[in-house]
Amino acid sequence: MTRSRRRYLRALRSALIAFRAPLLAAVIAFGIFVPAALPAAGPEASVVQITTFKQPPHWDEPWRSGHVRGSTGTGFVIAGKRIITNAHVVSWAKEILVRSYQRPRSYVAQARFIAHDADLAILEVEDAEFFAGIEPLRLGGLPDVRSTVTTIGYPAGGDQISYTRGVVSRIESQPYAHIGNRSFLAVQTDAAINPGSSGGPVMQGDLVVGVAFQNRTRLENTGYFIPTLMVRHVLDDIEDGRYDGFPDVGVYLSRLENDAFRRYLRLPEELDGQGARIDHVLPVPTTEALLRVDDVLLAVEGRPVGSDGTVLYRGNRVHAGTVFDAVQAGESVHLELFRDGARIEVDIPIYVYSADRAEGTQYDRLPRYFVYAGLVFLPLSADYLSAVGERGQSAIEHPNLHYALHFHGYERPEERRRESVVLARVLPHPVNADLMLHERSIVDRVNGVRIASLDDLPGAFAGAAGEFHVIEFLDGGRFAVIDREEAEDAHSGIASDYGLSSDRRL
Amino acid sequence: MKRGAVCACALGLLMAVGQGALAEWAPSMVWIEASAIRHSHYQPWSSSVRTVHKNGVVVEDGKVLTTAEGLENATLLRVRVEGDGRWRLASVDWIDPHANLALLSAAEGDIRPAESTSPFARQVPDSGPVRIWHFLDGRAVSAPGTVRRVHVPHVPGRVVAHLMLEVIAEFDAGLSDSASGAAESAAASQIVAAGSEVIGLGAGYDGKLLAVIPASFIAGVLERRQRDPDAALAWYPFSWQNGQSPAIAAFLGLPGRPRGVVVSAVPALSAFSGHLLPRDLILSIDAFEIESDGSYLDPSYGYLSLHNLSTRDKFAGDLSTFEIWREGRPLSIELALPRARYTDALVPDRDFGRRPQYAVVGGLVFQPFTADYLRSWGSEWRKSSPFRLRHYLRESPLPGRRHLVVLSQVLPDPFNTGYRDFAFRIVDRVNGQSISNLRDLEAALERPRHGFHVVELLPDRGPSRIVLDSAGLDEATRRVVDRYGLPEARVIH
Repeated sequence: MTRSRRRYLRALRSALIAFRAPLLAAVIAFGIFVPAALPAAGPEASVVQITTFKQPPHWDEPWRSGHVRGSTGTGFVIAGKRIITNAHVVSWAKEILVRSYQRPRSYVAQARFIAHDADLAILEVEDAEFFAGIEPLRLGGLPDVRSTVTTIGYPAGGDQISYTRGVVSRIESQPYAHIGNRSFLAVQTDAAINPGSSGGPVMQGDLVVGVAFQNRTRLENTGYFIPTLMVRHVLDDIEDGRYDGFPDVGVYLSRLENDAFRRYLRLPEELDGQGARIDHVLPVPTTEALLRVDDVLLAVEGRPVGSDGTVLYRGNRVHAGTVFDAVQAGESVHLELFRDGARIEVDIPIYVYSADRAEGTQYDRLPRYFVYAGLVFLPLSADYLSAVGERGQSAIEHPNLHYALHFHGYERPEERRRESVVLARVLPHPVNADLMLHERSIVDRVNGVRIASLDDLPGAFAGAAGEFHVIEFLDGGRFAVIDREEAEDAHSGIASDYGLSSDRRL
Repeated sequence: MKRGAVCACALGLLMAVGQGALAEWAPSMVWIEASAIRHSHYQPWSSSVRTVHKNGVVVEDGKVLTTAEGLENATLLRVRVEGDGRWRLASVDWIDPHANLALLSAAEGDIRPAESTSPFARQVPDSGPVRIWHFLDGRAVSAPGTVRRVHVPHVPGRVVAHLMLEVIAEFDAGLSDSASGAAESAAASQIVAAGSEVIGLGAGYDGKLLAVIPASFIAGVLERRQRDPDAALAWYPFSWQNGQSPAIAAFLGLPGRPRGVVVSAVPALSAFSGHLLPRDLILSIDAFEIESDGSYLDPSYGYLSLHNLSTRDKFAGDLSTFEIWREGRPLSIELALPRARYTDALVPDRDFGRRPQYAVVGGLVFQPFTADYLRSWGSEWRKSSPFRLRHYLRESPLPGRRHLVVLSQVLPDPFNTGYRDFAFRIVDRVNGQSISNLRDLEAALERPRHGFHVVELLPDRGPSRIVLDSAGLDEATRRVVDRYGLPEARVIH
């Protein structure tokens, strides 16, 4: 047990003793614990406080163990003895404890599925006693704008369950902050959603209409919850025992509101106000085969697409991509298009797009690395950039890395790599002391082998037959040369000196 | 007075080593008031007037030397000498933005340098105390300072690298009348003196350190301009990495200890392209041995960056001899040094002294993409301007694209409905024609495609294409120009 965890548990125990002394005293006096004897309650009886002990990794020194820290969130029980919460509540968890309403005891839970893209997680508790007396909450539908909702959770500022009430302010596609580079349907409310509320149910009557998950720090009274459409998608997805994720058709839509552009594309007048232009197509084989730049998307699954790229969805105008949120990976969507002066219809299978995973925040898989002769190579990722600079400042602090991660492959598809590999740092040793390398440079080639992913590196070094290893970088034609024999001799000693249990995690 | 005679006299002054006391040259100090049109690069059709106060030194009868900053597009220049409250009109003889120097002529020739001495030192100290002179409310005042080092700084955006002094300045709050902002400070041109000699002109103050153009460099520029009024500073169009790794030296087949620097890149369109090659080892330049860290031993100032050799008694067009090691053999090549020009860069740093160009096309505003445009984001533009645009500062021109044109904004009009969010995007092609400048744009707009103008933008996260109706374009442009009060639809040099 780490020091920080011990400290956290001590604090937790103190808090429990301080605030629950009468209850604990009663339990101890009778020597038994009878959950059913607790006073009946409303939906709060199914709402649980979640305490998570996390150990996120060091993204710039991935062989090191990260610090353990504790955090709390909220969850709620649904049918099948499952607990729903946010992915960000349980990501990187080493231990998850759940405690239900008015009960003193915590139970160990496991994250059975984590849908990081949707910021949702499904927990299970092995000890059946935990669920005794707990009625699962039922999922409702999408609430109406202006209707009233109640959030239930364990936010910061106290230890007891908390209720807040607000109205549904609007419903539209929003960036999901947990991974950072995906947007899905979200519901905005003025009900307070604060740290600790995450994962808690948002209720309308006795039905759950959403899962509280994020707010906007620069706006007042602006919280967001995940609608049940998303929850149901995840629950359906995991029925086969595996979570696939939300698929994406892989196109960028642009508005088509200019008359000249519409005439240029030969759209007839009767389609006035309808249709958004496909501006570019991501490298997804089925999409590239079936869709083209300048196709005009007229309808998705029978819903007409407006010239602003939105569809009418349960009374709300939302981005056309929202329709895909109801589709499982591998299923097809029906598109109506206007191409080359004619209407066409296409059924296109859609899949999870993961090529941009490194651009978002990644979880639960330890970062990969490869170390050779003290040269530390990592896949370039948003997590790495966050680790080496101020959050959100990578464009200023490391412009070459920021460009390589977010723009290079997109702007120069012919130069696209599966991932960019960065020389993250040099572990100083005589064998690399004179290299004068610029740390945080993108690797182009090693011994003539183009490095399209971290996995290419070991082979590129191992396959060298010459006297030297030559490492070429993308930035300004710079290169480094290291004596092969000296490097081989020094390699294991460097790993040992710097406490690397392994020179690689691939 | 004829220009040649002036320059010769000025040179005579600068060549001499000052012998007198400070007071003897102090009457040569000049207070300069420069009112100049300051163009907006964000709204390129608008401008304002800015007045700055600078300091200068009389180098010859009626001739005042100062820094270049703040003098472009001057509408009114006045000078006044220490101890005399009378303003005299002045005009610009020349401005050299790369050297950051300018020579002014006073309308009345009664401004004269102090009689007994030349103020400028031929060799500047690399340490020791100095006094920093400037005008405050019209009176010459000074503050103490200490020379910290002589060096050859790399200044982002500047083409030329030359010797500079770094002085720890002990100013109080009022550095000068015009030192309130960074730009004003850069323009201030304080006079830095050591003993009885002027050792340089201030060229920028960051609150602690004063960057000083050394007198020795100034003297060289004046001397060369006296011989050749079109003389221009030169630069080295290549980048390099240090060569101190024994493995690199061995890999390149260089016998003996590692020495020299390794050429890492030579821009495709540069004067050195094809002559210097990537992975050439530069062993010496003009007989100065190049160390593996990129320095050479300067006889006057010790180890300095090799880039100083491009301006150390060298100007554009002069020959330099490079001893290099290529493919296992020594080689000597002689190269003419190219002229420093902002326009050689993909993104020119400055369009010095010219009115900003732009073209309004149906409400879409196109501008040459320059660092001046990025500066319209304010003093923190290197942090606050759009990253995607800033990235182009790191790229070199290519044969098909020497410069870039930016779609900077859209002035709303029914004609451009649907495009209002387009801004800060680089133009790739118009009607199929590649666009490097506004003349390309003009020409492309002469050739619509089937009644439409198709504007394609370089890839970014936003939409990449705009289509305009060619038939209604001129009318829409006129309407936009009228509605938004623009003086004209296009300014293209």
